[in-house]
Amino acid sequence: MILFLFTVMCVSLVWTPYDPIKMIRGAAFQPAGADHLLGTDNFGRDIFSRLITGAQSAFLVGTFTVLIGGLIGTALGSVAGYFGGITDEIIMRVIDAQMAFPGVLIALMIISIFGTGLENTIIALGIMSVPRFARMVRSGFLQYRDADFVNAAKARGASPLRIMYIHILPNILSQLVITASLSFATAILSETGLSYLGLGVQPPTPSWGMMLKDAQQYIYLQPEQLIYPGIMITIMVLGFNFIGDGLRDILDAGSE
Amino acid sequence: MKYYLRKLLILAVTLILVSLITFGVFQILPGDPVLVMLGVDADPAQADVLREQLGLNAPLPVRYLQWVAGLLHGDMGTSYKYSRPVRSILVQRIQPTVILALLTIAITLCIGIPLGIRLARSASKWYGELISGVTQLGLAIPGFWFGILLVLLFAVHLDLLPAGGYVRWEQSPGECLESLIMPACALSFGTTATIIRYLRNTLLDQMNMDYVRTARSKGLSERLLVYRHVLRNALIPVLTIMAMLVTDILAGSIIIETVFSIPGLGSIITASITSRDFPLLQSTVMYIAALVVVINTAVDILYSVIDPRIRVK
Repeated sequence: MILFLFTVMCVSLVWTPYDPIKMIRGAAFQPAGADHLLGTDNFGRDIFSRLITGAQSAFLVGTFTVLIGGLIGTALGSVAGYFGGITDEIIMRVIDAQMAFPGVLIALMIISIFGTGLENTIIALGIMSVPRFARMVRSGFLQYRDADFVNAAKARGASPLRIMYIHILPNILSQLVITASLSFATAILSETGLSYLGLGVQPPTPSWGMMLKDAQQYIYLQPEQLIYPGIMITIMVLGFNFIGDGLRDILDAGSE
Repeated sequence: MKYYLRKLLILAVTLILVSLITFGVFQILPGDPVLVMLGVDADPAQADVLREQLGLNAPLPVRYLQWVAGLLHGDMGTSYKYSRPVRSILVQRIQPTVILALLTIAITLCIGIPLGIRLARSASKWYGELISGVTQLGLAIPGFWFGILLVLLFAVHLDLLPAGGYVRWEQSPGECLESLIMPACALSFGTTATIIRYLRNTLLDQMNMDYVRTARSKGLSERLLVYRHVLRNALIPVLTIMAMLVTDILAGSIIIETVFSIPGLGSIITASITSRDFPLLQSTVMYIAALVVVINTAVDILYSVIDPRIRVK
């Protein structure tokens, strides 16, 4: 099951390098045919190409969001988990405060200040993903903080930095990958929502969310337009969810 | 007693942090709201007067305190775009969002709990696999896309339900619900999926516990066992999840309300971001975040009331 979707996912990946950028054309609203695999949209752009190019946006957003969120989150979580005490309390309070803002709200707030566009979307979503990583890393560090191998390292005079990242972190790696995979899925969903609202990636760069928004206007005229981007999103998110779940089953039986 | 005080203290601290974040975030904005209102070519003297009027010249900490004081009194400033007190705008918009949220919760619980139980008991049978598969879909499908699909089916093709818009409860409860049922379904797809999976996991964990074995060896019927004993224990973590889901519902409503043109709290956020209407935005965000924090704390306290063991820890 996982393998199947994994393959679909990888195919999606291969598509992106080989995308045709023939986005602006003449004939509008063509139905699906040999010339245009999935028809054209209201501006006469080939939907198929836009779908493929949209995958690019999705991947970019997902990857960088997870990178940013992961790095910052891990840094915060490791410091909080390792040092404990007041540092821990402060960091966790701030993280909790951030978690009080429902999901995309944080991203929306950041975008409302710095403006829309790909880079800002990535930053906003990255910050949105930080709490997830921070909490997970922190609980992992709390677990291993008093382990024997840590004490041994300390006795040999290892600096805290070294202990944290060379000794403890590798144990957390599997959890990290799982969280990353699931965060990727969430990031894509969020980016879709943002683009739908017009606050994410801007035209003419295609993004699946934006395609959905455009499609909604012409729902009476050409309803198929709606279906394709949605399916793509679903497949990609499903793919990453499966990867995350599968990894979790393999690496970590018995946890949530 | 000490437990509750501690919880309330954390609540207060979190609220303060939240308000700081909300306020701070909107003060970093590059751009002068006065110029936005008067136009870029405005006369500088006029601009200064307006700035003074709006109290924008006061130092930052003072403005923060002013804002907080206003919040506590229910005065949230005036919207830039609508030139009305923010308060009146918000008060009007609460109704749709609240009813939508309640509807969604109702659907989620009514469908989610039975299915979760069913899944836990018969994971291997064919309908177990089916439910499992559907929940996976539910987590992956963008909620608002599902909403649009619903519109396609029920509004465009079947012409059963309105494609958007909202009728207030006072005007006609029936039509009000009609306009909210599709958005609620869209929202609840994701939340129901989450609850089903969570309930299933919790139930399975419980099933492996000793007390279940004891009850079975006593000859207790399977059905009685599940419904009376296991469920009660499993329901507690479900409460926690519900709190999290309320957060998700609020987040989801931001988009769903825009999809269905429902004038609620969610859609006003989108609108005010586009129009850079910061007083409105600030207060709405604060309101929603505060609501979330309060609900979470309430659930925490409720938690300890139901399960006394938690208090002692």
